[in-house]
Amino acid sequence: MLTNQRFARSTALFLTLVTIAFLLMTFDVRSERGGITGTLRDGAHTLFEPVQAAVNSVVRPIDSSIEALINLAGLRAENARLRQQLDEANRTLAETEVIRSQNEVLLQLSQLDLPGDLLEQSLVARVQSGGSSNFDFSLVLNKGSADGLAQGQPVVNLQGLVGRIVSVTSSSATVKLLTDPDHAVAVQLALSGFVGTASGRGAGDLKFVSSRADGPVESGEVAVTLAGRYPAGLLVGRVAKDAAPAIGAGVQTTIEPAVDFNQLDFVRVILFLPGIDQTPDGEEPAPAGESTP
Amino acid sequence: MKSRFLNIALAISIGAVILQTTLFDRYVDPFGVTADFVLLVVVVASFRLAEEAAMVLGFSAGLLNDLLGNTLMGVWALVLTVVGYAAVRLRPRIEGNQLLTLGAVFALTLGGELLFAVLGTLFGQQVFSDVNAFKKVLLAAVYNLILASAVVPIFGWLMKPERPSGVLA
Repeated sequence: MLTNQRFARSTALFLTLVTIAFLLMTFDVRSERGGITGTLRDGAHTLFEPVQAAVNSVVRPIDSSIEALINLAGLRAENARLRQQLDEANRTLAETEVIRSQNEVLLQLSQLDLPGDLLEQSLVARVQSGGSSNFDFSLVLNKGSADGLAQGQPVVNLQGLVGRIVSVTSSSATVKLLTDPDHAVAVQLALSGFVGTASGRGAGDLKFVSSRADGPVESGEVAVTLAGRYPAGLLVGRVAKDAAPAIGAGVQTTIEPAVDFNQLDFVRVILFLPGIDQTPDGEEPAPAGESTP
Repeated sequence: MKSRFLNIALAISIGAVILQTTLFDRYVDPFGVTADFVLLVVVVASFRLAEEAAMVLGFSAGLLNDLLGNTLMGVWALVLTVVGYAAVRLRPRIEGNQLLTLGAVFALTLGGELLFAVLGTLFGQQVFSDVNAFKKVLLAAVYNLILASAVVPIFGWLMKPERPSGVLA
C-alpha cells in the first residue's frame, strides 16, 4: 500500500516537472526568448558571471601549464638532468608566451582592418564561457549593455566574422556562432560577385546556397558579408569546393569559415545596428580581414 | 538526512553546470566534443537518491543549464528530469555491479543526448542539422563513461549511507 502511494506520488511529481518543462519551452518559443524567460536567463548570467570568471581565471593558467608540460615530453628524455629546471623554465615561458600573444592579439585587434569607420565603432571583449552542451553554439563575452553592447551586433576577431550577439545583460553578452545551424548570413563572393546565404551546419564548413548564381564557383574564392544584418565586407571564409550551377537551383557549395572557433579568446564587437548600412557610400564590399593576420 | 543528500547533489550539480560552461566547453573537448558533465552528475547522484529527490535534482540542474546556456529554456530541465527518473528505475538492476553501473551511465547519457536532440528539433532548434550530431551524442556518452569511473566512487564517498544499504534520500 505504502509502495503504491509512493509510486503514485513520484509519478505525479514526474508528470508535474515534465509539464512545467514543456510549458517553459512553449513560453520561451512564443516569447522568442524575451519576456520572463529572457529576464530569468539574464538574471542567471548576471548572477553566475563572477563565478564563471573566477573559474576561468583558475582554469586558464592550468590549461596553459598543461600544454607547456605536454610540449616538454620530448625534451625530458634527452635532458633528464635538466628536467626540473626545464619544466619550470618552460612553464614560465609558456605563461609569458600566453601573455605576450594576448598582448599581440589585443594590439592587432586595436588595428583591425574593418570596412569604413567600423573600427571606431567597436570595442574589444574577452570570451568568458562557452556553450552549455555540444549542441549549444554560443559564447559569453565579459562585456554587456553597460559597455554599449546590444542584441544583433556582429562579433569579429583577427580572422573574420565570429557571429552576432543574441542577448545581453549589463555585464555580459551571448554570441551565436556562425556554425550554429540556426544561423544564416547573407554573403557575396568577392570574385564572381554571386550573392547567397551561408548557413551553419554545427561544425566544419558552412553551407553556401546561391539561387541566382548562373556560373561556376571556384574554391578559394573569398566570401564577405552583405549589408543588412551585418555590415558589408566582413570576411566570412573561403569557398571550400568548386561548384557548377544546376538548372533551376543555382549553386550549392561549402565555405570554410575564416575563424577557428576553438581558439577564441579576445574578440571585437562592432557597435553596429542591424539594418543600417554604416559603410561609406560607394564602397565595394572589400574582403575585410583578408589583409589582417 | 533527506535534505542533506539532496543539498549535496544540488550543490554539486551547480558546480557541474559552471564547469560545463567553463572548463569542459572551452578547454576539454577532444575531437571537438565535450563530456556532458551535468548529465553525468545527475545520473550518478540519482543512483543514490530517492525518486522524488532525483527528479527535483534533474529538473533544477537542467533548468540552470538552460539558463546559463543558449538552449531553449526547459529542454535540459525535461531531459534531466527524465534521466533522473530513469536512473532511479534502473538502480535495483545495477546495484552493486560496477560494470552495469558504468553501462547504465553510458546508456542514460546516450538516451539523454538523443532525447535532447529530438526535443530540440521538435521545438525548432535544428539539432539534427548539425552534421556531427550523432558523433557528438556517441562521443559524449563515451566521455561520460570514462569520467564515471572517477565520479561514481566520489559520489559513493560523499553520499555514503549511514545504514548498511538502501536508498539515501
